[in-house]
Amino acid sequence: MIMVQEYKLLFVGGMGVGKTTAITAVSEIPPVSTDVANSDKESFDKESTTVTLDYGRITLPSGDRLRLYGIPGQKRFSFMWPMLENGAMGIILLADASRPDPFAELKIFLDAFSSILSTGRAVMGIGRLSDERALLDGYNKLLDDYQFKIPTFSIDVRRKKDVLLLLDALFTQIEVVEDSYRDPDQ
Amino acid sequence: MDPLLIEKMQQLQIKKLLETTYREISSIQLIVLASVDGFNLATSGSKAQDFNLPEKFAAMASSMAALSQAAGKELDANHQSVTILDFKGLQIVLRIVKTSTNTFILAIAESKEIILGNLLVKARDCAQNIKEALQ
Ligand SMILES: Nc1nc2c(ncn2[C@@H]2O[C@H](COP(=O)(O)OP(=O)(O)OP(=O)(O)O)[C@@H](O)[C@H]2O)c(=O)[nH]1
Ligand SMILES: [Mg+2]
Repeated sequence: MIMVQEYKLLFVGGMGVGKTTAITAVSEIPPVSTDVANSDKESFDKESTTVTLDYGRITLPSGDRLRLYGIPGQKRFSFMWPMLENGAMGIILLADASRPDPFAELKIFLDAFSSILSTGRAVMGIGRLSDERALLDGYNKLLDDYQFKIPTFSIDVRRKKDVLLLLDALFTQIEVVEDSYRDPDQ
Repeated sequence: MDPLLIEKMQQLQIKKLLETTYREISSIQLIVLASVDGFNLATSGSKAQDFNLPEKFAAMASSMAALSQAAGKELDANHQSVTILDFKGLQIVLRIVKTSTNTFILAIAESKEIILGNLLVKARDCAQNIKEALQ
């Protein structure tokens, strides 16, 4: 009998970085959405915002399944974050480079999800990065300051292939971490 | 920062309506009108002054209402009106309040000194009064 594995992966990041958009782009089932009308257009001007979670699913050619969860990005829903982090095997951290203070916003999530991020089982996708090398360097420096070994990618969450690239990179990353546990000299 | 979903005058009016319900049921710990995305708009109840509790309760009410809506949708049920949570010594009722322009959530936590049916009737009446005040 072939054992089918299930992996729980978590999309993390602030309001409007595109967690819901990313999960919707790649899920093979209509995603479970808990988006409602956004009444705080000042924080981020968009129609809807997630108040509980996103949930989507991908079946790999091997038959293994990815369960994709997204957090609600607004701080007042932070009580949901540890519940969703529980049992996750890796994190897709998303950022929006066009925010007024992108690094301060990111720090909230670097702190809140440090227990997984510090293991390296994570990748980071940066959106709306208008070929600004300096900004990408800034993100990498911030990750260095936290001593998080996480690869960064410039992406557009609306593009399925970009999100799949992140998932692919996350699996590579998880393998690297597991190999280094097996062979501590590496 | 809280968005200006309803005007200051309306906010006072709604607070009065919540206080009226609290006066009628003194075992209400919290009664909150929340925006559908979890902002606390008005509060009353014995724990209304507890630090940050009304804000947290409003956010949680919005999460729970959205999750029960999502569960209903999976089972082909639409038009959710009430979510009920039952604990030892506590019951929580979440009621959707729809006006022509907005959706709100009326959330009541009560110490189970009255029966659920009565609490539901009070929640319905309070929601109706809020709706009228906001039209
Ligand atoms: N123009 C433009 N829009 C983008 C880009 N990336 C994402 N978006 C839009 O940004 C919005 C992201 O919104 P959501 O997916 O709801 O964000 P979220 O991270 O789920 O936010 P919360 O649930 O509120 O925490 C969507 O409307 C996307 O279409 C981009 O590169 N350019
Ligand atoms: Mg979302």
